[in-house]
Amino acid sequence: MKKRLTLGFNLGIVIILNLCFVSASLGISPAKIITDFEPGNKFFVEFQVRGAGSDQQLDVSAEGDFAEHVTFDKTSLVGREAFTVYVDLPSIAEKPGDNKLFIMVAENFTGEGGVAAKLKVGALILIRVPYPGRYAEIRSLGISEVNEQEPVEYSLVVDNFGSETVYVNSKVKVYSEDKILEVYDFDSKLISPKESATFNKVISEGYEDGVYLANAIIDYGEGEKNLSKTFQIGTLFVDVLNWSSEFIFGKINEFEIEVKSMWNNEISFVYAEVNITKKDEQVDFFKTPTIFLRKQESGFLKGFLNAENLKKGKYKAEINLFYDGESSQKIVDIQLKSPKEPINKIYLIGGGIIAFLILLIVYILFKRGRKK
Amino acid sequence: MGAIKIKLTDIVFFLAILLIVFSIFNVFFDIITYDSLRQKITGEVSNAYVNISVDPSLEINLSSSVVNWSVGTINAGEVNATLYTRGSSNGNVSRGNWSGVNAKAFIVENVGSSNCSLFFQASKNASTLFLSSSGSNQEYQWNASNKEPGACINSSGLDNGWTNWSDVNITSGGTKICSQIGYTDNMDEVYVDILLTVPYDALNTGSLTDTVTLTCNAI
Repeated sequence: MKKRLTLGFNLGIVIILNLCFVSASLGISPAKIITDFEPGNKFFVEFQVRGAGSDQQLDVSAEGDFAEHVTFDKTSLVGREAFTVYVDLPSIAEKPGDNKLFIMVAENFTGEGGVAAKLKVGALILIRVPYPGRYAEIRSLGISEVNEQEPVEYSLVVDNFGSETVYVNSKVKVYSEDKILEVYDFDSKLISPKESATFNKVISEGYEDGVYLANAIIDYGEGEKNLSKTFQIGTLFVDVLNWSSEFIFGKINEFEIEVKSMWNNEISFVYAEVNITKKDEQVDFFKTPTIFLRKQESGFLKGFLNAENLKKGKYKAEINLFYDGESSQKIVDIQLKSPKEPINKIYLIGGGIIAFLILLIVYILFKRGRKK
Repeated sequence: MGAIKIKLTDIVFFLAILLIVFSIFNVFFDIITYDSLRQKITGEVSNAYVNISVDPSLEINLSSSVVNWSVGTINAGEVNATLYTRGSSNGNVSRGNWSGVNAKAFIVENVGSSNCSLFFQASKNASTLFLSSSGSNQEYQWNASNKEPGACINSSGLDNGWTNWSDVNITSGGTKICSQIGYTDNMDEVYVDILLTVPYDALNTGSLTDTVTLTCNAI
């Protein structure tokens, strides 16, 4: 005979869980600190617990690189307490590059009933250990967000993470649709250990509108590093992305148009005029209020379609957008349909009628009973 | 059969009852349209935001900290029963009579101001949770998916169909289930679902529990 199994969870716990939907939150601030490794350096950081309940028991610990060189002013907390971490770095670091030390705060409780979850968060102390000899990395590649034929500025930041001074040569390759468009050589620079340098170049003639890929490459003597980034050259055009397509005939309907700016500047006044036609004959016309679009931003234009005197069926909507002296157009299909009664109102009215009839029957029976 | 004489007091009595019934229906209608009632009372609008600048912080929120299947048994003739959570929906139970009402996914939301990596670690695996005498027909697994599209950045591997389950990891540190959860509103919530396959020959019976740890590390 098979054993009948009861999966955990005694009745008392079930009742409590039905009444109280348990949720939890836990956080720590600051989330991340970056520092360079200095042999034998000592530093401390104050952290603040966030989100925890006022009586929540918490444990504090260190994990990851250099965890054995960390001490705390306290390792048990209650609620949103602050605590201090003391880091006593060794004289020699074993691993060059980014060393990740996590300061962990964890909820301290024993789950009851089912599968319980406890939260744990880790703030990152990133300790950068210099590589022996020559070593450099690209920290960032900045590209100005401009429009067609406007000057484009490239800005490349390089960090020397090695123990020796490096001589860095850099260049940027620009691709359009997977084909190489241009290669730009930047100036060469000497960068001391723990220092960084910025390489700039301005392409005054700019590019045509579209999406491009820039690939920055540096050569620091011992090797190469590269970093890629896509960028978009803007054009003064606002596109129609989406629109309301189904409406109820016999009433006024909201007509929503989702638009997107392809321009890398703000556009202050964007609006639409919409012609509704049936067999090339205009049956309605409306204009939307204006909206403001930031660079490359999407937004919604809202107007009202008057379908009070229209029949159900298919119509054409000619959406004309106007912005900064320019315009664009899209002709789309829309459909007018029959109205649907909200389901909860039907239930309500039906329930009311049934209740009324029941009351009437009870009342009549009650009256007859009293007569007898 | 004589005609029924209706007095004025009877009419008033009947109208009073009718009024009570309609009042009850009115209250019922307001309750079922609770959201609009709440807006009328409190002025709360769900899509209103106040943006303030803060120091970078790491903070996560858990919608519910317990997945509870209540009491149940395996159906007669079956060698196991499978129970799994399905996001915000009630849990699914196959070949058993457990309740899925309180069995919903853990919803982890990044409410801080920096991205973080999410790890999942259990205290027990299927074997230590159920202790099946045959060592088979038992599973304890997890599945992660985006509750809000794009929450787990570059998460092409995340499953939203509850088809790809992985055995829980009890080793220290657990399993990384998302490399980077963003903190942008409407793109910062992920589901962590749980699947249990309960064997008929489990030696551990009665109240079975486990505590999992959801860790979010700053990146």
